[in-house]
Amino acid sequence: MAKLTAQVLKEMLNIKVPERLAEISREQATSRAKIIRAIADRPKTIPEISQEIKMPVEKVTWNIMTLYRYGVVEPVEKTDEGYYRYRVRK
Amino acid sequence: MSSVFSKIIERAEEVSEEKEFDAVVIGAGIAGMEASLDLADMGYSVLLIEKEPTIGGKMFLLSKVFPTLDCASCISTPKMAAVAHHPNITLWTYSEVLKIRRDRERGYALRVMKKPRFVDESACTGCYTCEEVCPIDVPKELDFSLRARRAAYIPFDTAVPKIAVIDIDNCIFCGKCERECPVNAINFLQKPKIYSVKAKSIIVATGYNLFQAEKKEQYGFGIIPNVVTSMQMERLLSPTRPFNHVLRPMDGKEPTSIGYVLCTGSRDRTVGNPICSQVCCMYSMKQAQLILGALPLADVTVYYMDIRAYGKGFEEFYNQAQAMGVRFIHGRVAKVEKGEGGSVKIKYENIDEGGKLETAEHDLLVLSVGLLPNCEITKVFDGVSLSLDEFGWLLSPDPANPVKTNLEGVFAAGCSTGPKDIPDTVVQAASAAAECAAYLKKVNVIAEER
Repeated sequence: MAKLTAQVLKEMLNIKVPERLAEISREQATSRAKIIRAIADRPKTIPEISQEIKMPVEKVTWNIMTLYRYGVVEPVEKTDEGYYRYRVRK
Repeated sequence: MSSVFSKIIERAEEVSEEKEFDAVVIGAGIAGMEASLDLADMGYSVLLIEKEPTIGGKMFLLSKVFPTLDCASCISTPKMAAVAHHPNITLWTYSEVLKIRRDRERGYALRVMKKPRFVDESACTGCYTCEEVCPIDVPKELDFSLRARRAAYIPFDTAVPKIAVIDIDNCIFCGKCERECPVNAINFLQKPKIYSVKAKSIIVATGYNLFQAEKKEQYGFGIIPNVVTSMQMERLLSPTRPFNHVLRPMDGKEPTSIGYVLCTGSRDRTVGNPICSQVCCMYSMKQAQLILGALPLADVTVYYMDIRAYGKGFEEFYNQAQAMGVRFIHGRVAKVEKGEGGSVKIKYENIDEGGKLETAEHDLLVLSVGLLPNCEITKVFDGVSLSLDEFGWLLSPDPANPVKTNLEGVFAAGCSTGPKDIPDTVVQAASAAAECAAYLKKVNVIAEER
């Protein structure tokens, strides 16, 4: 099988992938797995998720909205306090 | 440390074949598209150059336009499609003008670099597979960092051209996009290509930059959660919004009280921009009305220095906003602080109450940022110089012909000469195209007589 052009370019230009990108990739995967686990049993609001998994609320919002964009989660209902509850999309 | 992209640039290769056009239009926002279409409809050959991976400029990011509240993307999207399909328009996206030199014989000689997307443009079907498998999320520029995009991405659903691009500086070279692409369109070995272009005329339609709200430190943008800019609010209100509803970016709460601070970074000598941005009053009123449509129980308060509702239907639009319940407070906001539960506390001078200092608290504070010049293009002119006015916008030396610049055969369209609303931008772009066509006719006649 031919080598991927991504690998060829990386070797040809001696590109070192910055540690920050590898960290972003690992961190995002971990955070999202935690968020998805937190709403697996029942829909929750962003502050509820934040409290449960002890993650800053801004970070939960960022991840929930990205998961929403990629069709992984969806809003189901709005609380009286004005927060939406999100669940994993079936 | 040099970026990966700078290493890629070093691999640029010259294309030997020279391209010739009647006109080169620089910038494919609403002004550049309008000018290109008008010239192309008159039979002239046009090269439209856009530095971003898609055309459309800032207009397609807007929710609606004022004062008619027509859908912004419903106006701009058909123009984007028309540009892409016009037989007289050659469209180069993700391309930058490197140099412009006066050519005595044939107008202007340009060097233009087409940057590599690392995606075969003729093969990509815009299927999103690369985006779905890419493991890297970075703040999405077109949503003003309200949510993420992937390192392999399509700028937005109605992008023209709808072709993926790989953000090489944020790529980890995992190869997932390349392995999964169903049409084998991913090619990391693409090189930048540098073209030589001859054009009889040029239209500069480079638009504007937004004031960077961080520079107004007392307003707390980037530090206090739930202080957003008006362009972020446009995105929140847009049908293609980043969130599922109009929500606070900090915690996803529906805001019930929203404040607007007008003249953030315009009419302000302390930030070096003393002129009025012309559109902030009206777009803030538009947003206020749209908020009341989306959140009928919300309170919206606008803090202003002066309301400049100068255009057709603008005063009526202002009255309509007041009738809908938008509060207008004549006073400058002096200080912004973090409140309880994600709220934003402000201190302001209420001029109509004799300059009394008052405080207020909002769920969300919107900074109505001003418009700044985007005339970097003047730096690529070699041997001749394209003049700027005292504020950094393109100079139009003839008040009777505001689309002419100081250089023969170079015309200005849209916000390149100063802040404008969308109808004025379109009118000026059409005018630039008409002036350019008259100029082309003249130079063609001279050439025939020789």
